[in-house]
Amino acid sequence: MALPKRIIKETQRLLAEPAPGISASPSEENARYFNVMIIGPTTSPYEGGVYKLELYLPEDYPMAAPKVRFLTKIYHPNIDKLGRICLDILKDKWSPALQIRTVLLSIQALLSSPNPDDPLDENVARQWREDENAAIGIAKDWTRIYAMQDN
Amino acid sequence: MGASSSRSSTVVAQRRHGPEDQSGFTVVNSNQQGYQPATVYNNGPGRGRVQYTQQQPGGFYGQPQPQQPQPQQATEKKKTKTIRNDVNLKKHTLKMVQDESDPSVYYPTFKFDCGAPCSVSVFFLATESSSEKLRLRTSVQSPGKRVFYEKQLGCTFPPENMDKSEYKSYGIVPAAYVEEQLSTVEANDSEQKWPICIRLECVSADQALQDHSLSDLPVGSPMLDWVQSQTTYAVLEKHESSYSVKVHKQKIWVQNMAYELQEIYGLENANAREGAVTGTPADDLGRECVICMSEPRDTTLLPCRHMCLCHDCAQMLRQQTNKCPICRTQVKSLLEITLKN
Repeated sequence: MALPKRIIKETQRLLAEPAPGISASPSEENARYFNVMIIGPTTSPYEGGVYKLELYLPEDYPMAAPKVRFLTKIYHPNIDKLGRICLDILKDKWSPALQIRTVLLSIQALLSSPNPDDPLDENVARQWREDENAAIGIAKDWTRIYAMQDN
Repeated sequence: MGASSSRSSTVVAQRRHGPEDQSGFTVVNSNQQGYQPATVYNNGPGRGRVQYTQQQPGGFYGQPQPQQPQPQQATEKKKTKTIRNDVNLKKHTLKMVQDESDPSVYYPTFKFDCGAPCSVSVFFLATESSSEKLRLRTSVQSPGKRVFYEKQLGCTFPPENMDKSEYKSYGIVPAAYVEEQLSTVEANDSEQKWPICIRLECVSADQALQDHSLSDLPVGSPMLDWVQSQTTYAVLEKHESSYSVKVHKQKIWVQNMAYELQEIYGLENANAREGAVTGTPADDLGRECVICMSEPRDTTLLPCRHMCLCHDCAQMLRQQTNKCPICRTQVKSLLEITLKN
């Protein structure tokens, strides 16, 4: 099936004017599958890390949200062991006015402001609520261990 | 995401007064862009039929239609009839200016279009009763005389040929009032008291009604079938050493009915031409449909009035989420406007 014009345009714009700290490029085999990198925001526990994600545009995109998942391990109350992300715009708050770019910017913002009151990973969230400094320490360790490798 | 309010003069109008058997329609107005006859879609269960419009200089078209419950069904298109509005005050131009000869007095200045000879009347602290066909009663300060204008676009008030000493007869001395009297609308179930009302009136474009003269109509009197008018309702806000006007609403009176005018959000973007001034790509100007990102935006969602889609995507949205992509409000109907570029 032909690729919708919207996907072509979004892809061109993502490549031509990438958002700061974010890169996204379609895979060669499948134009709906994007390899994404997000740089850990400064002043967050993820600073210095480079996070790989996968983003897939389902058949009914943009009426349905893109499917996005972290591939790099990350210690974050709204991201689980499998890299799944708890973010309202990826679920019930999706709107076709949103785009790949805005979704990735939202994920970048989520790294800057973890929300332990709406957890996906209950263990991480509990740690975050009970001892935030310790949680941030773990997140920094994980950043160093998993997100700073040269690969 | 999010739409900013359009500064365009294009509006949707909603009927406020008139026979009870007619309700739920919308009309559109523009005096900036050329409109071609548009198409209306209606597939909501018994919800507002939408209307659209056509352009002539200063023109405003649309017409109420009787409403019947509609079964939920595939989207249908309807052609609509139109009505015309010949007088339009450009609300962003309305300002209060201090009188040169008497600094205690502030008078309104504004720009407007009239597609027919018209008159301007200015009212302060005027009471409008919902049952009296837009009659405006003043008790504190009587309105000045009508100021007459020839048919013209881009008129200014006060008129250039008026002696400056006369300006203040259309002004107010704000210091003579308690601040709240000027900054708030006093309202109850049946009446509203507005700090400022400005009414533009002309004789109906209907040939059969042309033998009337505005001079026959007392200033502020109830609207008659041969009158076509637009009224702008505003409050005065005090700043350190000046006053500003805030427009709350505008109503038009056409063919014996009153309509409230409402802006369409994003229409100005849709009008912007790609790269016309800055070389900005069309997507940055918000000119393309937010869903397909290919076709120009030509369809406004109602009731939220976000113009963000092309007609094909709007139809598709109706059958899927049926929520506005900008604000997520449930869509009741679609309003398609074809811009003549």
